[in-house]
Amino acid sequence: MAKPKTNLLQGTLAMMILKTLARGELHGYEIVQRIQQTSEDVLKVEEGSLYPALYRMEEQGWIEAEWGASENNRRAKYYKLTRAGRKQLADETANWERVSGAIAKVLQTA
Amino acid sequence: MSIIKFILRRCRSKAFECQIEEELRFHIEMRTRDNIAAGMLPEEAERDALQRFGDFDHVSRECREISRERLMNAATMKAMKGITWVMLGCGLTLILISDVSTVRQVGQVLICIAILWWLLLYLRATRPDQQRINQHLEAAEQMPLGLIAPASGGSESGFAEPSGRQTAAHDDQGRSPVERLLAEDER
Repeated sequence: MAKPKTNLLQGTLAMMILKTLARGELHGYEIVQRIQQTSEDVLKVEEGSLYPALYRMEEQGWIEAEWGASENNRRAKYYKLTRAGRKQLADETANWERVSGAIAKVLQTA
Repeated sequence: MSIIKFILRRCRSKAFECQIEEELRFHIEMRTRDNIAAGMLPEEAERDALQRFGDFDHVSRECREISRERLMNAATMKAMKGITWVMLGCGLTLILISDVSTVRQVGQVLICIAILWWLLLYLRATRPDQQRINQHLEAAEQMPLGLIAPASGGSESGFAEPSGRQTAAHDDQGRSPVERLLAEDER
C-alpha cells in the first residue's frame, strides 16, 4: 500500500524556511535537516523543490545569500534572513495562526 | 562596446549557472555522505540522494530562470539610478556655470525631477508593487508544495485530517509539527 501523505497549505514551505533561518544562517541542506529534525521526522522537504523556493525568496528580498565554507571545508551557499524577511515571517505566522485557529474552530463544532 | 557588454553578460550568466549547479551538487553530496554514515553502501547512498532530490535538470533550470530574472531587474534598477545621477549632474552643472536665469531654471527643474525620480525608485525598491506580488503568488501556486507529512488516516483531501490531534505528528502537548517549529524559537 502506498504511504499516505498529507498535503500542507501553499506557502507553508516558505514560512518554514523563514522560521528556520530566523535562528541563523544556514545552507540548503542544513535547512532541510533542521526542518526534519525539529518536526521529529514528520515533515520532510522535497529536497529539489527547496532551491527554487529559496531563489524566489531571495528575489523577493526576504533572504540573502553568501558563499562560505561549510563544516567539512566545502564551499557552500549560506542563506540568512533580511529585515523584509522578518516582517514576512511575522505576517505569515499571524496568517497561519488565524487560518489554523479557524480550522480548529470548524473541527470543534462540526 | 556592445560586444564587450555581451561577452561580460554571458560570462556573468555562465558564472551564475556554475554556482547554481555547485550548490545543488553540494546538497546531493551532503545527503550521500550522511547516507553512507548511516550505513548505506556508496552506490545505494548516491542513488537515494538523487532520488530524494528529484529531477536535477528541472530544478537547475528553474533556479537559472529565477536568477536571470533577478539579474535583469537589478540591471534595470541600476540603469534607472544612472539616469537619476545624470539628471542631477546636469542640473547642478547648469546652475553653477550659467548666468542666464532660464538655463538656471532648467537646471533646477532637472534637480527636482531627479529627486522625485529617486523617491519613486526608493518606493519601488522598498515596496514591491502588486503586479510583482501577484507574479510571486502565481509562481507559488504552480510550484510543487515542497513539504510532505506522513499521515495516519490516509486522507487525500489536501488538508490536515479531522483526527489530526491524535496523530503521531502531534506531541504530548497536542502541538502539530508546524506549531512546534514556530514555538522552537520562542523557547
